[in-house]
Amino acid sequence: MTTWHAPVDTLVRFARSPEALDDTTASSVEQHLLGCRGCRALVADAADPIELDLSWEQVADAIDRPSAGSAERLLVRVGLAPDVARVVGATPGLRLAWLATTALLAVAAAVVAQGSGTDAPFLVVAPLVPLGSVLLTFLAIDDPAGEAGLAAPMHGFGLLMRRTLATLVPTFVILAIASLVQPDLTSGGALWVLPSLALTLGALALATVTRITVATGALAVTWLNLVLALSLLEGHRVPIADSALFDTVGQATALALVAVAGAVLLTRRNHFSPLEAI
Amino acid sequence: MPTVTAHNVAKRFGPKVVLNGVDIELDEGITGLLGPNGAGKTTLLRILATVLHPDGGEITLLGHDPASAEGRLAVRRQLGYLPQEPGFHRSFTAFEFVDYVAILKEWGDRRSRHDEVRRVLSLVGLESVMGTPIKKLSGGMRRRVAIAQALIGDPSLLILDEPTAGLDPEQRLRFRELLSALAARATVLLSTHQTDDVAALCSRAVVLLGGVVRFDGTAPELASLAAGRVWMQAARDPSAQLAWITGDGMVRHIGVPPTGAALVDPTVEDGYLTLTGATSEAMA
Repeated sequence: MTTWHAPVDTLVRFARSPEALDDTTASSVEQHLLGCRGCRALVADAADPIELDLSWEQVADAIDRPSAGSAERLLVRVGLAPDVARVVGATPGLRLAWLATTALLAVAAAVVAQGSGTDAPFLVVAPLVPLGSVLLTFLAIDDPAGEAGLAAPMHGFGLLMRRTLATLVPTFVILAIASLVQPDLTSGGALWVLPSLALTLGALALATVTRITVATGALAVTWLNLVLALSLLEGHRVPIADSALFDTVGQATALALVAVAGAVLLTRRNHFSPLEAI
Repeated sequence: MPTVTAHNVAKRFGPKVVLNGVDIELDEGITGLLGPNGAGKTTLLRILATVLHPDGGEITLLGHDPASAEGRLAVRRQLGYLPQEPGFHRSFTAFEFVDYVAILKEWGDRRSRHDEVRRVLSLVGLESVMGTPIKKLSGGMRRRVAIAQALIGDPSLLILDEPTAGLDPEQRLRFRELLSALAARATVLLSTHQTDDVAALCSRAVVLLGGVVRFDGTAPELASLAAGRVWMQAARDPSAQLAWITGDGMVRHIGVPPTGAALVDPTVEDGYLTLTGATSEAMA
């Protein structure tokens, strides 16, 4: 057992400004303190209590800080505040499952379209995919805070829309990538966008008056009926990209529906009841 | 002026009328909401916690109208809510869960938020398991995590749906202590099936039956509804409304006592059972 003790002034400097000591001295003092109760007491007395509390707080903060998931980190990278990213990025498992399903659907539609040499499968399926995103986001309303979160000030229409957007953006990106492999890129490449937006905003607007399952289901059925009715009316003479659903009038109608649904959504946002939406 | 007023509140789910013109006014202090399953307690609490819209009636919470978005936001900033089923994400640790709710309660600054999370978890005696995943906690501990999130920010209005369910006797006592300290500066409304919680804790009791308020008064007033209707005797009296054997082997009866019966002081439970008209047959 050594009888050596660190000089008092060195211990005081170690306690108050350890960065002022060279590495060798700091390591020696540190090693000595492990076995010397007397010197530890001296260091404790010499330490600034406020600094010490601050250090402990920093340690506790580092230990307690929840780890961020990949979705959360991505949201921070695109500019969301860390706390907002945490709540928007909640339920990443569901989102990941949905994105995988979206990718599969988009690829399947693209492959079928390639095989048949027509844009029809993709143009019919693509607008339905964001509807699924909306439905899933609402179903995932049962977020990590459960019902307690619904009574919190941040919860409400704004957060739900941010979560919906966080799901819709990657959905549209996946669809856009899938649309690049369509047989006729010049005519069918972006024709799905406005009908998709119209159906999506329409479902959100309807969700202020009825359940989201009813809203998305009704719009999906309406869309499929429209496609069916037009194909019966026009037969197979007209490629679907040139049909009334996707021609200039169809696109203008979709744009008008986007505007109307957006206005309804904004006007009726206070009528939205999270517990009764699903 | 009352901090909470609800007038003629109605709510139905499909054909089922759950609340049928509820009138209630609350001040600071603790009010216990009693009623059998299906009486509408949870629905009323959800409406007062701003998570459910009523179909009719007028509500004012802390001076705000929760029907408007602005009013709802103002209320939520001063509200603590413990739902019956917290349904938290079980992969979260206790700290992460409460921290997550604190974010939803607009605690943006991470340092002060974490201090607040530690404070509320300490209040419910969970400081030693803050880093433990919720799925590894016992039922009572999970209930305390849920209580902790309701205490974030020292709310002015605290709505608690069966807060003592799953707590052991020691935890219940600690909870009563905690709540009575809060009640000095907050309006607390708690629903419970534990009439002894109401007797020990609540300055006021409200009994909800079939979607309407059937009693509104103090706990002793609720107990007094059974005054002269509770007696003890060695053998069961079949004419009693309710009768059960107590720990000392005697049979406690509620109903119209026979001549010469040994009447005893009624408890809050006796008063509640008298009000609800519960019978031995119905409870068998």
